[in-house]
Amino acid sequence: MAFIMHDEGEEFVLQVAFSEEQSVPANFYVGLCNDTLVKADGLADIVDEVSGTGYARQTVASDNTDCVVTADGDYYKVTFAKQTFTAGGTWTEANTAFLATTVDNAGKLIASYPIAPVRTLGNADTVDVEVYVRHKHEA
Amino acid sequence: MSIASRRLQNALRGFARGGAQTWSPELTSRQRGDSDALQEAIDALRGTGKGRYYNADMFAQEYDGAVLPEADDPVWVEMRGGDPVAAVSSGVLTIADDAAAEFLYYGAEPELDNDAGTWLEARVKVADATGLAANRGSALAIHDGTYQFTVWLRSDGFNIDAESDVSLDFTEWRRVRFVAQGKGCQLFVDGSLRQAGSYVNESAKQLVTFGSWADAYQQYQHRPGGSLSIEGGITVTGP
Repeated sequence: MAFIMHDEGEEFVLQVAFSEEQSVPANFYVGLCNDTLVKADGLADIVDEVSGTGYARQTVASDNTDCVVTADGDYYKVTFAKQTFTAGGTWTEANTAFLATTVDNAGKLIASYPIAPVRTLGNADTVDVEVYVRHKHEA
Repeated sequence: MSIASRRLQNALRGFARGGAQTWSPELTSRQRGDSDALQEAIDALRGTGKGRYYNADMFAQEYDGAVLPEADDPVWVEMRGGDPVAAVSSGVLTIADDAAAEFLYYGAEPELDNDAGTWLEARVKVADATGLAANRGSALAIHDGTYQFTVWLRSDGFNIDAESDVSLDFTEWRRVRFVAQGKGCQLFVDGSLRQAGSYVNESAKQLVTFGSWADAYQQYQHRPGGSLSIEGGITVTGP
């Protein structure tokens, strides 16, 4: 598996930036799942989101504190604030982190990221997840 | 052995004597022969000279530059001689083999059907190449279980095996679409039909390959279109 910028994520970003068919949500959300996603997948295609006591998609405010845009060599990238997941019991396995526009499945799946090795959190375990998206321009 | 086959073998021997070669491709894919969509695509290509039906979902196997091809899933089998160097960075596969006897190319063995046809696509930039003549350079090849088809790519041009050299600056990124069906094949570059040709040899293999045969420096990069790509990364800390 590799990083995927999903179709609806690409569309969302362009529609926010250029056509204004979408608006910037108040928050983005980072979640964990155990799905093998493909580029065409949307939020509804996540069928094995992590479950267990204390699990919830983590909130990333859509501001320049939680979404930091920086130049990275020849690139520009946005780095989303690190999120800490803390298990209150044994959680189901996670092989993927994902970035979404909503806390439920009504929104857009922007991107997904493989987690290796897969994580299965036990009670009181924590895992920190920090994701970014980077544009690369080549002349 | 056919005349075309002898010619290919002669060309390969020529590479082994060659000097340094540099090139850089991008997206490599291939399409299985049992899809109606593929048949429509090939029919459209033959009828219009343009690939109107490009659909990434139709490709049975792709290489996206995230990992080395031999580590990809599904795997591309590495075939090498000598000690060429391959590396991936930012979605680009770089292969460098600058010694006379070296080669490095990658193959996949999908289910192919000569009647239905095969579509192999790559985005390629050839920075430098030894032996700037027809039937030399780096190669994309299709073995569809009946015939083998090969196209040669050089920094200053290209040709379908046994066809004449076509001048083209391959030091710029080029999208190469190689379509084979029956005894014929067609090569499209950046969406335009540039050359038609025939098979190299009979071949019972079902195999597609990309890479260098000898003396090459090359890069493959997955980039569906345009000059802007999107990458992402993750840092996970925890148990």
